[in-house]
Amino acid sequence: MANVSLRSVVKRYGKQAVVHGIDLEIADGEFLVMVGPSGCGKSTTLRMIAGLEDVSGGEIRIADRVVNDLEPKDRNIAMVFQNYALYPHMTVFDNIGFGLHAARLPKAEVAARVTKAAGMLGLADYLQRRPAQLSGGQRQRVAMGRAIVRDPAVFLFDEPLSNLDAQLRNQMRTEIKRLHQSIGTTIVYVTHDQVEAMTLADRIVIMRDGRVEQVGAPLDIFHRPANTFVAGFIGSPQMNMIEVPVRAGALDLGEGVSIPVPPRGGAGLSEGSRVILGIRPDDLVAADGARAAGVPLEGRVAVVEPLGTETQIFVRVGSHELIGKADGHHVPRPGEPIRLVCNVDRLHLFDAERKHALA
Amino acid sequence: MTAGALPSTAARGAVRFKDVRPGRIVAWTLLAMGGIAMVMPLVVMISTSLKYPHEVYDLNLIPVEPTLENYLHIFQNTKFLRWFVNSLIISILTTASVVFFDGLVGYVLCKFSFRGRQVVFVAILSTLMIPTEMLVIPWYLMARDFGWLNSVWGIMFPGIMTGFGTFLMRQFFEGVPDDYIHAARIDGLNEFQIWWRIAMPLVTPALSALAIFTFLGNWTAFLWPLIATSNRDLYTLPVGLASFSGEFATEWEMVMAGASLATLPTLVFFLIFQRYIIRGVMLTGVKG
Repeated sequence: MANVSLRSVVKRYGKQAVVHGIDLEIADGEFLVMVGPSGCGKSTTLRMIAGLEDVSGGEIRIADRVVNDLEPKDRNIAMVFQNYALYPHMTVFDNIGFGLHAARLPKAEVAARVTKAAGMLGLADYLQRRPAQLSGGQRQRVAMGRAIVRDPAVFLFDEPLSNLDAQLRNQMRTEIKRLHQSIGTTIVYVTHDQVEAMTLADRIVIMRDGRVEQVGAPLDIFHRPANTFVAGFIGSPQMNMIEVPVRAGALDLGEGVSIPVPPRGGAGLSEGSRVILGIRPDDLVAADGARAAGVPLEGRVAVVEPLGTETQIFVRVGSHELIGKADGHHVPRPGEPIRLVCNVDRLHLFDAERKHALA
Repeated sequence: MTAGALPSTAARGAVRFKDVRPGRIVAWTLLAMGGIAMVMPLVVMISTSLKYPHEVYDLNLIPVEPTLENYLHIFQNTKFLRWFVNSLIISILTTASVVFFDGLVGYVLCKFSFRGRQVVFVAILSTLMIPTEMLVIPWYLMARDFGWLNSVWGIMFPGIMTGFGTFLMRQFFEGVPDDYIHAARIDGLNEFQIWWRIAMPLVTPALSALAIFTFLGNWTAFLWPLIATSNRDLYTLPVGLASFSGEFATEWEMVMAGASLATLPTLVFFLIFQRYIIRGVMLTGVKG
């Protein structure tokens, strides 16, 4: 168990910087998820923590020890790779126990630890098989077993679920969470999937272009995104974001439709200035449901996507198209007029130029 | 006998006939011709090795008076066994050396980035453009100056590493995902162990192919072994067999008996290693 800290960590390839000075304090036992679109530097950062990439600047500490120049094996970490990286010429047993063998542990102890880890992961019956004879989910478990068995101070996961199909991914996600709850080791987990980030993390780090955009607990980030990028990245379907002018103390959506300026962030807005208005689809619901308190908005249905538990509706409101939600039983027809209600307290306002949230 | 049986047989015949398309007939004919062309020299070799000298120039494939005397003769009156062992030692040592060193260099050129890597690789590749005939004189001068002539090492040294093998291994290591190497590094292996215990087993098909090529190349090598030694005790098989050709006459039945025996190790070697040439083993540990 250990804390991990990154101080002004930079990664350059030649003159090209891909990670621009990241500062991060990861507490002992914390489950930290780094999330962002591909190329945002999250995997590179993870590999720097692992020691698979050199650190071009700054300092990485694991358990208060600077590890910049330590070999991966000396950092007391274990890593689970996206493509599992199981040695195909070895059995499951040998794959899991390989690191222990390399560390010259006695055979009996290797066997005991491998058996224990395999038991935890439901792999006991597969120990003599080779990776080729396993399903994707089983391979993923072996990869996790290989990490667990070493009892490291920090687990590093590099998009471990992205090669699995949707159902298996959900199942493995729960297993990873359960695993963390039972062993309590610090985990740094990289993914591009915001659902994984939301469900697994104690804290999320959202990255873009080698920079940290926001760090926080999942719900804090969801409810208080720091900028339009974070707002768009977290939450599905995406937050509606439209640029609107302030007219007569209200946000003008065009064609005579307007919403009162929300209390949060709306204080300093001057007449005629432009802001980006963010509305989560969950905060824009068809008026006939139970959730019908708030400011009414009249619009016309453009596209309807029934999902069973709820219905997503694309509605033309003023001169904008917004995504809202309706009850699963309520499936409006395209072209119909519709009344939506919008929860003004939950609206988000962002600066139109610098894109950051107006507090 | 029912009336129904007849049409059904006829129908079955018709289906079979329909399966034999003209393209297939052409293909089979070409394959058969190719096969015969490949096998013929072997058949002639074995057949001639079983003939008496007076029958050698007859074109019959089955000897009129088959005999094993030629085999007896080469064992009793020549140093065949000695040459056989020489060839075996040289081929096995060279093959082991090539597989080891070419694998090592190919791996480093593929998986390590260092200044001048490309230059080194191109330099190694460029050695492939030089024919053996051009190299034998420098080799000879070098061997003479070092006192390597008339020694096993003198025959072996030009072949202990090959540009071709290095190139081949580098290309195959390209196909080994870096994550295996990263995983092994985290597992605590040093770079040599990673190469030996992780990377090499993943390229077994390439290694087998390289081993077969190298073994066959050395087993049949003629020019350099001929030049490098004048000591009959150090002859390799091809050089020894060639010595059956005199200035005025060639004892073909002897040459063929020797050649028949000489093919045996290559066959055995091939049978052992070909089963490792199973592609696609490498990727079974990654992806879902």
